[in-house]
Amino acid sequence: MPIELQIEGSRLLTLTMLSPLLGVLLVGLVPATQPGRARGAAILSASITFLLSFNVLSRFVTHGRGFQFAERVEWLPALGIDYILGIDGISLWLIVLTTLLTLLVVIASTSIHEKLRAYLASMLFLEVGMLGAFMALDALTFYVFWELMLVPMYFLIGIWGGSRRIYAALKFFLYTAFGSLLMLVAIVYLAFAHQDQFGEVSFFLGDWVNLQLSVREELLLFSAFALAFAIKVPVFPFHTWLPDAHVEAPTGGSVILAGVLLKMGLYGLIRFGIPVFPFATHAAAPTFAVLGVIGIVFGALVAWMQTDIKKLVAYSSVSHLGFCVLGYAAINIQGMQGSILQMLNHGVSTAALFFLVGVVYDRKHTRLCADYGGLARKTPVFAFVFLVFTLSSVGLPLTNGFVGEFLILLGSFQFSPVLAAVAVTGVIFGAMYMLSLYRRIMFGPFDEAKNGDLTDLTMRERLVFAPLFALVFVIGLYPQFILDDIAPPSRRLLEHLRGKEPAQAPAALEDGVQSARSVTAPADTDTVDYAIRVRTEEGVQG
Amino acid sequence: MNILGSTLTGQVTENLLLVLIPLFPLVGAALLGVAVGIREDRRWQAGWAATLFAVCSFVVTVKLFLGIGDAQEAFRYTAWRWFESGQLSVALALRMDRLAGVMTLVVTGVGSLIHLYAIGYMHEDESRPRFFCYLNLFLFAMLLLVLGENLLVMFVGWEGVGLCSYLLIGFWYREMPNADAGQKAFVVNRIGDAGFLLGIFVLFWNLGTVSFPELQGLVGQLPPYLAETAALLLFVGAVGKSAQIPLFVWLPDAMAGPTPVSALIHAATMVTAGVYMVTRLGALYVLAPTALAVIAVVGTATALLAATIALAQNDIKKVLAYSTVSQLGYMFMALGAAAFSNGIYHVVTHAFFKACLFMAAGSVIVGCHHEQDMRHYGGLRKSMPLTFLAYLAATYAITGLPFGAGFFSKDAILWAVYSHEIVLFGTPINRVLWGVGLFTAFLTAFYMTRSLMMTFFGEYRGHEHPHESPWTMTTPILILAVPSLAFGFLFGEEFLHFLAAWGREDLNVGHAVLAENATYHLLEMISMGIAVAGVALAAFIYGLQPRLVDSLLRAAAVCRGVHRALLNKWWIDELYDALIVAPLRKVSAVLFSVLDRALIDGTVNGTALFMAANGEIVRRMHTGRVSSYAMVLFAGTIAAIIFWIVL
Amino acid sequence: MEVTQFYLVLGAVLFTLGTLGVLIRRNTIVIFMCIELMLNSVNLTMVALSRQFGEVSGQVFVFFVMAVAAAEAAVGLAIIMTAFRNYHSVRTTDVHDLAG
Repeated sequence: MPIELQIEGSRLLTLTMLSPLLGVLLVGLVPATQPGRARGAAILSASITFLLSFNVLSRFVTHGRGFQFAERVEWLPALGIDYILGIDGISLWLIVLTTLLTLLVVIASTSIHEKLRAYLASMLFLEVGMLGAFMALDALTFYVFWELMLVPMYFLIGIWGGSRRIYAALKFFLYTAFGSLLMLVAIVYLAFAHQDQFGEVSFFLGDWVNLQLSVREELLLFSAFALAFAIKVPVFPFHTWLPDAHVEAPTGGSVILAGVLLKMGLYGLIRFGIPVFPFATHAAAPTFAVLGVIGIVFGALVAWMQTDIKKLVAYSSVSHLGFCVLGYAAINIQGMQGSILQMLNHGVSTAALFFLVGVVYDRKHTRLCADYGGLARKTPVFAFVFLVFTLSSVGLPLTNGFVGEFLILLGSFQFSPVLAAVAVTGVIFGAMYMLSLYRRIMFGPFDEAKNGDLTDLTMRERLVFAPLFALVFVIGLYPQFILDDIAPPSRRLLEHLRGKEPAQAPAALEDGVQSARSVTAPADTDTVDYAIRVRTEEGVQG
Repeated sequence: MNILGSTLTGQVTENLLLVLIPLFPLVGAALLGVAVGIREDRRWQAGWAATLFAVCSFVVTVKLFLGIGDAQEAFRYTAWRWFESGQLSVALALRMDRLAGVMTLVVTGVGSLIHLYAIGYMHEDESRPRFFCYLNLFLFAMLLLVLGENLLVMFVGWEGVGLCSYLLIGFWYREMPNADAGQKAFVVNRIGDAGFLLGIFVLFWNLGTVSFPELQGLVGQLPPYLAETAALLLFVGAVGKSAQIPLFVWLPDAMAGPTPVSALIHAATMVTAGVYMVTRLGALYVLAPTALAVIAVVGTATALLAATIALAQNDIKKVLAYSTVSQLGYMFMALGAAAFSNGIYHVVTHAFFKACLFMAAGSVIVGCHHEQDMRHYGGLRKSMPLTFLAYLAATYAITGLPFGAGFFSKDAILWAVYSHEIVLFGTPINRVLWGVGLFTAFLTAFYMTRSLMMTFFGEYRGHEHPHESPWTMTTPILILAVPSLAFGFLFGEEFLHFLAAWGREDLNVGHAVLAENATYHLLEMISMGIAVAGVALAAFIYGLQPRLVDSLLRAAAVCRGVHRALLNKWWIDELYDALIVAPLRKVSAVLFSVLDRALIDGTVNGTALFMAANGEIVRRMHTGRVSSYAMVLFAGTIAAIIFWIVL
Repeated sequence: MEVTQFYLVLGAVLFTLGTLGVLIRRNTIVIFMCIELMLNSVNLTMVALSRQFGEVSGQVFVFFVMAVAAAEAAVGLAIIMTAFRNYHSVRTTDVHDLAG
């Protein structure tokens, strides 16, 4: 899988990525006594970034080759470290999601009263880190941005969080840093392995693809990467930092954490894991699939038990990300596309759910379901918006949640019908915990004495929900505009994985599988893709 | 314009008309929804608008239905390519053939009448517009389900009707039990949906398509075990949606919703979606004899179980709910005998008489000031004559008395079960099923007559003064009473021939075909006798000897026991609670507190604590005195120098 | 030749005195003076050796050391002043907030 860089002189990616720094500067210039202006400056900056990313989106060529808008600058030539950026269809949409959510978070920052400027600046710094990580194609550049994200997030939880914020922030930081240190070791090892084999140190993904690694090496290095990514996803059983971090984080922090940061792990597995470690990816796929399914069921069941709204949504994230991991591990086009689409969907709906929790938390300062009840009568707009995102989270058809979930389950069914059958129970449990949450908050008698002063969504809040609300239905009704962008890189990745299965699959078995399967001629004209699919299918069966 | 051009235009127009059918209610729902959001006043009359949209949809359906000629030919409309991935390509497409046409007619026709009825029924409710918005949305989802060109569009409708059912059951959400009932319906339905999804996966990975016409042609390639698997998995979906054993528990609870909802969703349309789906995939099911046998057994068992429970219920809506479950069981019996068209026949007649019954019951409930307990009714035929007439007609139909609609369709089913070989585990079971079906027919006649007697005959036992309902309510009831009585007599034979493509021709009870068949005549006589017996017994007990039941219950402990079991619905809800819900709660509590918090998080925090403890030890070296640091520094330097010199 | 040795011995003695002072005394001002003593003893050594070998670089280094010493005095005294303001003491034993 040669990694092609479509170098372009415009430096659009760098510009987009660094544009939030302008906001940091502006926010810093505003005196502390004028929070409105600081917020305005941050909104301006985040809007600029969003528009820039939209520009990237509009200029992106769906069926283009390789990585578009690529940039390559020597950074530390003596150490073989370059600054390499570039995006494909997979990172494209994650970038748009990032800029959109950051903008919304900044708009919704009215609930922050203390150290607003620092809050806004952290958020914008965080955006730089996230964008950089999604754009980087050089492992060390990626690592720098990867770690850069930790710092502002640490402060966001630690300063503006709830009562146990210090504990949660520290746990979040140490947990993630622990994983990434092993990854750093692996990165350095790979760079020197490249020196051994090709004569020069390189951290460029495109160079690493050509590395010849022994099975043992590959497995060990992959484990180091996978641990870092698995913690970030989080894959069961590395998830316990997530509920704590979510519960303690301020609304904006939770939104970004759930909306973007959690996608980093799976993104890393796809961006680095598959090209560099194809054999190990195959070898680890069953493990990931099983852990994904455990995550689905476990997250859902535990979410069901929660009395704290935020914790419930946090565990629901574990369940949803379990779906994404399962799709990734299915190693077929449906699973891969579904997994990436589901990451975006989760970014939209769970982010919205955290915003919604923030709405009532700002008003009543409690996150316990028991403190609410019957709100549908008092705050109908809030109830309606909540319902839509609940349904999207449950994966109702024609909302965004369905297509991703469906593709993942479809893909995983080919990988292993048994696992898919267990994973499908996630659909049932999902309805169970989300609807029981909705029922406890919205239905039943309304306590006038306790919640009589609740007000419905303000215009600003409606403005925040509007784009996410629209996305729920746009993606639900026509997900193809995203799937089209995801398809070419997914196909390339699967093409790369093909033929790299563990060697024990005997040829005779493959033949047997083929004859047992009466696959009909494809309806679509894309026969090449079809051929790939069939071959992948056989391979996975073995 | 030449002839070719004009026919083409004609085709295009018709295809555009097809999309109008679901579009009308969707637009209605959207407009009402927006209006609900904008208007401060929540009491305006949204019902007429909603009814108008439903009627428009009905009119278009009639126009298209008259144009359906050959069963193989169908109207199609593709909105857009929904999504595709690899070999999978799903279009949001509609298709109307004979089967879908019949269902669409029922849905829009009965649906329109129920909309009209709801105007009267919801007359005093505070959030009427929201109600009609949901009702129109339901119609849209149901039409998608029926008209879907592929499994996924059907699934969209399938989940959509589930959502609307959830919203409408919990419509009066301030009462927690209503909200609970809605949630129960949704979750139980989702269990079925999970099976449905798995069935789709089996079909897709082995046949490479999800489109119905293509599947129809390809299912023959499936190896038998895969056909059985797919058929059974899809049947799980039908079990959930159509309230069969073991997933029927949600339907009685669903009576918490407003009565028009019970009539539309939980009697006439949504709950028959399972029957429709199995029929739609009839080509698959005929390849799966074991699955069919399972369907027949499940259907028969459900029919019997629900009928027994209906015997003892006192809530009029509960009686009708269990009756619905029982009748749905009949439909699945027909499917189990591969007599798909007979099943659909019963779907249609059932839609008429059960919607009529529910609406009449709703009229009684309104007339008696929201009293639902039949023990507080009695003698209502005088104060509510129109409602009484309709209820009488519909009861006549459902009990299977001669020449009512239920008589024909039920006999068609029993005949199919009797004459078609159904083998499970090597044993032919069709005679047993037939016997149970017949007994259930007796029970049906009994409990329906019981409800009729308790409600409309005898002396009034309530407190409030009962009154007849407004014309918006009585008109739809009376309109539906007509086909309840006459549909089978007038159109039964044509109907079955019209649907002949689905199911076995020889099982269609064309009267002319079977007139010569002595066995059939015998069976017909038997079932007629059974129905008369059931009606007569109930009329005798509840009309002439009202104390008989009480004295029986007092006299024999066995009777008391049986009565309690029936009244408590065989404790099935409690059983599920004890066997499934409670253990699941326990498991998730244990998962959370033991596995998640104690074990995993304990390990994580334990590691952190271990590090902290180590730090505590090392910490003591740091005294904070600069001079001691300097001393160590100096000593270290000296040591390094000595080390260097010695080496 | 002889003369250089005297300078070197003197430098060593001064350096030892300075070191001992840093290690033993508790008063930061005295410690500071001792550091100056150590620096200047090194300066002395370097100048002496520079003269003996006729090499200029030693003397250049001395300038650097003097410049650094001046900077250090400026910063260091400022720190001591601040510390005194906060702790009302310049003794090292009284300033131990960083004790683990």
